Amino acid sequence: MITAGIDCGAKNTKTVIIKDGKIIGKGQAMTGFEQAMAVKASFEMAIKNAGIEPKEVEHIGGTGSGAKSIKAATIQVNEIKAMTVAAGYFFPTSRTVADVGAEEARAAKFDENGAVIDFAINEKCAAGSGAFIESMARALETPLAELGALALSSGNPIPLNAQCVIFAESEVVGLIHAKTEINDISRAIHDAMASRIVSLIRRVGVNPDIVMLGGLAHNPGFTTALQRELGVDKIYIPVDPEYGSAVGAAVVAARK
Amino acid sequence: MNKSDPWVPFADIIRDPWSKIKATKAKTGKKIIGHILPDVPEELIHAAGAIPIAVAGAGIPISLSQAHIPGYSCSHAMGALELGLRGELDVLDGMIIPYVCDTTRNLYHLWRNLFPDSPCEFLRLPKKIGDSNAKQYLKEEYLRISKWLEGITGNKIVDDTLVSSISIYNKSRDQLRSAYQMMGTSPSSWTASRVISLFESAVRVPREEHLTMLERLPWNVSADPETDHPRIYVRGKVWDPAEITALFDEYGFTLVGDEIVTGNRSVVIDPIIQEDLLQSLVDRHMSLIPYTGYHIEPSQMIDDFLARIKNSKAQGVVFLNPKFCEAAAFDTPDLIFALQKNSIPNLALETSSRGTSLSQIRLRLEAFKEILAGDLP
Repeated sequence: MITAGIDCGAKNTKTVIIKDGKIIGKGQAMTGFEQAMAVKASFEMAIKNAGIEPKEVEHIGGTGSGAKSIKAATIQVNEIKAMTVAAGYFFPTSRTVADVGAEEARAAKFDENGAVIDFAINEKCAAGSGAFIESMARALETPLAELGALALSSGNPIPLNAQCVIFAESEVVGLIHAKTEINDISRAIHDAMASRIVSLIRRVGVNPDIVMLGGLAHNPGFTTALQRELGVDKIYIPVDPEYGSAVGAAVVAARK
Repeated sequence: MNKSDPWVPFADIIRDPWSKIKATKAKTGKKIIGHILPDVPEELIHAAGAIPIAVAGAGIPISLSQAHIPGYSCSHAMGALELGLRGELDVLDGMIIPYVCDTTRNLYHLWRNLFPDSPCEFLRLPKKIGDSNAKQYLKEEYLRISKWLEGITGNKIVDDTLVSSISIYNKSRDQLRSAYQMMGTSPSSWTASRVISLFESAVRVPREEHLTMLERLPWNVSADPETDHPRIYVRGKVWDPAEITALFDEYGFTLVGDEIVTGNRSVVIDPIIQEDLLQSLVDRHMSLIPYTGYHIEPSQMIDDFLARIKNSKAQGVVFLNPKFCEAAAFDTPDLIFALQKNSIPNLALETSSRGTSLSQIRLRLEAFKEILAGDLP
């Protein structure tokens, strides 16, 4: 059976094609204002990547903040369910998953069947999401892709107290003016971010084998800070973690 | 909505209570006494010949009050002050603010300073519930408030009028209890948002008028077929954001119990008319589900809470915690642990119409429904 999972997120729309439980294609497009266009573009890219015809896709699972715009979806999958199913798909022994996307961070605990036991979502502001790191990269005039690696070279933890993106940026500017080393500032940013996500994970309870999904899982500064803050030896991250929810949606579509 | 729709007048009152009450005052000449929710005995105000009207601040856009009250105050208090500063409450002849938390204590002092020409009293409710000294104290406090009310209206509160007032409010509570039951048997027409609108409007118009309005509702509608809609119990203070009950309807939850001040909590107990009528009101207050800021022994608070959920046959609990309400925030972790220990799923929403995204609430409710339904992937 071939199914597709489409995650229409706040910033990017991702599509995954799964055939008999194996990922065979992926596609991505900027969501922008025209969500339907982004859905179409990412789907077409994934189909091409998979080397199949659209008609071969039997079911489509739609998820994400723009899920309603996925008209072709045969099933709507809640974002919490999509992430827990994806975590179980990639790492069958996992029971806790965190997903940090562009504008939202979530954590969930689930049982051996993949059923959600508890979940938490960041609710105060964007300070617990990818938008926070993007904003800080701008303040440091450093490419986003390099920011995480910079943090790894710092051995000097500095607290970053502000609980909001704008005020945190002011605090970072203050550190720049105080001639603080850029790698130390980068670590402060990632530590602050990790601390917020860990408090979210602790709210649902930390079970062994924690899986990290979402675009921020690519950032080594963040995942290292997260590991340090959680006190665990390893955080499980799949290849292309930003496709996590799309994978979950595709798996749910196949099971239905 | 159709104007002949019997539910429309209730929604109209909630949308604009102050125009209506101004018209009522002009027509009846009665004094209007505002009160902050919860637990000001409306029966005393009514017995003094005045009309009690709840001043509900949640959902009011904040601008003027920011200059007078800390930004981390709850929407309920900030919104009430905002209404006063806007002049919307000029219709009031007096105001009663109950001592239920530190915020209401400070709100009283602010009120006195900001509106010196408007009579305002502080109902010093005992924080300890069930204690015999607290009962005696509360009776004295009701007596003091009664004298203050008599001074405003010029009417003495005598036993006959108080019996009559208690009877009217008991009848209203009885009707509202019936409405709550209809939500369980005929949820397609008696939706949560409609039924809660009855409770919300009841504290904003003369109660006799509200009783008449209730008579026009479709009480004889047949029961719906049995459904497997998840049954939820709600703990919180006010229905904030106001759309929350409509979201319960939209996601197919059945509301089987709640502790909201304009919900089941407000009608679940009637005062029993006895020789000492103030004692009747005191006994009712002490039997109510304790408001989150009141003090009872923590293990009793948890046991009672679990018993209420069990009695309601709820499958899960939704906490509707107002942002910046420290009393609710302190209680919640203990209650969540107790629920988890008893394998009762729960969802803690920290909400405020001043800063809550409905789309975030939707996502949480959707996921919670799947947990309750045991909807395996």
